[in-house]
Amino acid sequence: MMRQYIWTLLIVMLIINVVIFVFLLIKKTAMKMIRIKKEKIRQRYEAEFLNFITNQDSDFTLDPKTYLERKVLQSMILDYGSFISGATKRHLLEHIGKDLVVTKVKRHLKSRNMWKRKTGTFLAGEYELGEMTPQLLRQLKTPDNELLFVTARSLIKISNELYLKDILIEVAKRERMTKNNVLSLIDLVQGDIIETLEAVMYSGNTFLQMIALEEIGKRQYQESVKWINEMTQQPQKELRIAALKASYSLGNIGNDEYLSHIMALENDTAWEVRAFLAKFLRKVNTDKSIDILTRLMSDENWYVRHNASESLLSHDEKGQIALLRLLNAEDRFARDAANAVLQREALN
Amino acid sequence: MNLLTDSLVVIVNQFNYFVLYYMIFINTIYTLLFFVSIRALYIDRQRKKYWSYEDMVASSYTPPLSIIVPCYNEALTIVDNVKALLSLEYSEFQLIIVNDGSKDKTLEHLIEEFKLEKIDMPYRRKIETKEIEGIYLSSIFDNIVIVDKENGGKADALNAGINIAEYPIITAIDADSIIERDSLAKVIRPFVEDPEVIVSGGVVRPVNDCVVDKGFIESVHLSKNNLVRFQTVEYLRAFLFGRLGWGSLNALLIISGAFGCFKKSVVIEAGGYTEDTIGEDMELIVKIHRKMREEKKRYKIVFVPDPVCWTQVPEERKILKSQRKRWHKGLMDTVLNHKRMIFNPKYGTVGLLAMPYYFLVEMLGALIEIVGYLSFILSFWLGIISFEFFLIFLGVSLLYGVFLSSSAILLDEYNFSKYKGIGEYLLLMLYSILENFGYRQLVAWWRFTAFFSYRRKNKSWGEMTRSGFSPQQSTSNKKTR
Repeated sequence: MMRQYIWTLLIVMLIINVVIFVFLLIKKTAMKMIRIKKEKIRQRYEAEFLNFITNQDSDFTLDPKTYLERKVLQSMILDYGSFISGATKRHLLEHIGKDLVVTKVKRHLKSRNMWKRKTGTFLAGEYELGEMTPQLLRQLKTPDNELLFVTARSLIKISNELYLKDILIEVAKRERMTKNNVLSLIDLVQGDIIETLEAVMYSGNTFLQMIALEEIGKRQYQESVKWINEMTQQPQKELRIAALKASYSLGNIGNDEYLSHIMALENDTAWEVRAFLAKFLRKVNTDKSIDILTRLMSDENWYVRHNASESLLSHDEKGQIALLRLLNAEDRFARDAANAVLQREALN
Repeated sequence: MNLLTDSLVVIVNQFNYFVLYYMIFINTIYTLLFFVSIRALYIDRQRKKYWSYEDMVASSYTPPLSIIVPCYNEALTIVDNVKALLSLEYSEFQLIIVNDGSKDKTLEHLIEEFKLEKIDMPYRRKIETKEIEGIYLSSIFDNIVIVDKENGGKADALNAGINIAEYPIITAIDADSIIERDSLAKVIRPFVEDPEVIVSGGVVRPVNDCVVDKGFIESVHLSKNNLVRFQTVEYLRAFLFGRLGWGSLNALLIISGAFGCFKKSVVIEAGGYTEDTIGEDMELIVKIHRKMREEKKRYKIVFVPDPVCWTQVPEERKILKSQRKRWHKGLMDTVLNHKRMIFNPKYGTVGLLAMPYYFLVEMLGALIEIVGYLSFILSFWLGIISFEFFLIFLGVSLLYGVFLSSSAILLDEYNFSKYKGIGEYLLLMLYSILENFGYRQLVAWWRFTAFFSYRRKNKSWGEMTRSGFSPQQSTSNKKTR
């Protein structure tokens, strides 16, 4: 009986191995043939394709007939997606059979398979299929964080800033997307978004305020100063840090009130705030800034001292004089850090 | 005499049953890991379809990274490898080369090529290491730091690199390894998407006979060396089955020392790399698991099957033997250091599945396999089993081995298809069969001897000789780390 079982097992294993071998051989051979064909098509198409996307006046005469030719063009649109403007992309899509692409994306979006839905959502954004917007907006309510991110990205790709507020509201409801992911989404939005960002600042949601504040500073909006002044006085450490990050992006705009609000953070209880202040002060080349940085060189926290030394170095002569003075400081770290940054400066 | 023979028969018979159940147990685990890996590869394949690599590389929000490259007597390859690392596609990174008291001209080559100057740079000694003799910065590249230190072993070199590292995520890369241009972005992706991720690792493949130019892979080829071909099959099986499977269960115990990414704060909290062990990479991961589970923190240690790191594998039997014995002793070190985790529900899947697996299968496997072969021969001699039974039993185990290896090749081919030629694929399949006739037993024998020659607290980098990478095919003569 045992022997029979083992014999059966032996034969089953043998069959499985042969099946795997044959399947792989066929797959490998077929894929090689397809790859060669695709490479040939791509070589044939690439010059005209690139000419079309870089030179708006040129005509697009490529007329893909076969399934493989259409697939190659579709993949070229995806590969060069970030270099193709909306109108050019639409024109290309019309040429390669937009209906087929839309049908495929719709099928994916309706799929019960989550991975396919994510792929469909991504493709809707890459091909900028505006007709998918209602479905994508409904999809913003998804409990799946990854799908939320892909949906938000596609909505921005299709409609730019139009639904940014809806996206941020959804993100804030769950706070399961990291701050950097939200910021990278906002990065995709082109044009003026101050109204949306200000609305978010008034929302009172700390997570969103942090994001909006950093972005307001990064985009160097005039309104930054007002928000930075206000947020440097907030009890939440995160908001004070966001204000410093925004001010770092904005730089020294020669506004005394703005500078005094920021410099008042010198004795902040949170070391992170002092560390960001030290970083910001490399943008402010004044005697007061150098005095603060010199004091921060003796801070109890390593990162604060590190940032202070780097900032002093960036202040050319004044900073270097301060660093030279620190070479005789009682504090050992201040001495070593000053020595190190001065040596590094000598390298350059 | 008869009593003795009868007793022997009973003992051998009992042992045979034990081996049979043990084999069923192992193969059941492998089968389960196989299914878990298939699912993980499917997910990975799907996720690639909706990920914008360009977005990630271009984004200013992709976390900056400190790359630590420990090196010891790498004069031949170090310059090319540093140049290759400098041209990786990643937005912001710092390259820390730690020269662990090399006896050759590693440091001199670096100083000359990158115009290094020694400076007195203060740093935080968060992990204790051997004395640092000098820190050098380049006058050409802003993002290179070279640390010259007393010889203290790989773990000590890595710890020195961690102390110097400026960024919150660190990656350790072996100086003789080559990573693909896009590998960093791929291995960092889990950190960007999920704040719970604290460690991620990628696949390591043999680079021997691949065409390498200026530290980058120009074209991938299967090596002409038999030993390397066997190892290629072995690597595929280990990474695509074992690590991917365990990674999916958040119970991965090894992230290859050749290519892994870590949240720096977590490594420091775990005490950094352990110096008095051979398998510092496994030891660190187990320490992190242990600490996180004991502190009841949510975390993920993930394995990403796509980012690839290419490394030279031994082409000579002597070197391979030495490497495998070291690996086995390293594994024993870690399993024994953390034996209280085995079957301990406090450590979740790590305590209940991964640690028992590494103890029963990886640590004791070779021992049981070798004694099993002897017992089988003895059983045949004593007439306990017939020749036919002996053959078909051997046949089933061999075919199951072939099934596992060919499935790994299938999964690799289906998802990554690194080897373009059909001939290379046929050769891989052939070697997945051939490895069962001699190679597997040889490796088991080395591990068996390592089991008995194991002594605690024995470690060293070992002597190695490297051949430089060149536009010609890459070869390796020695590697005993």
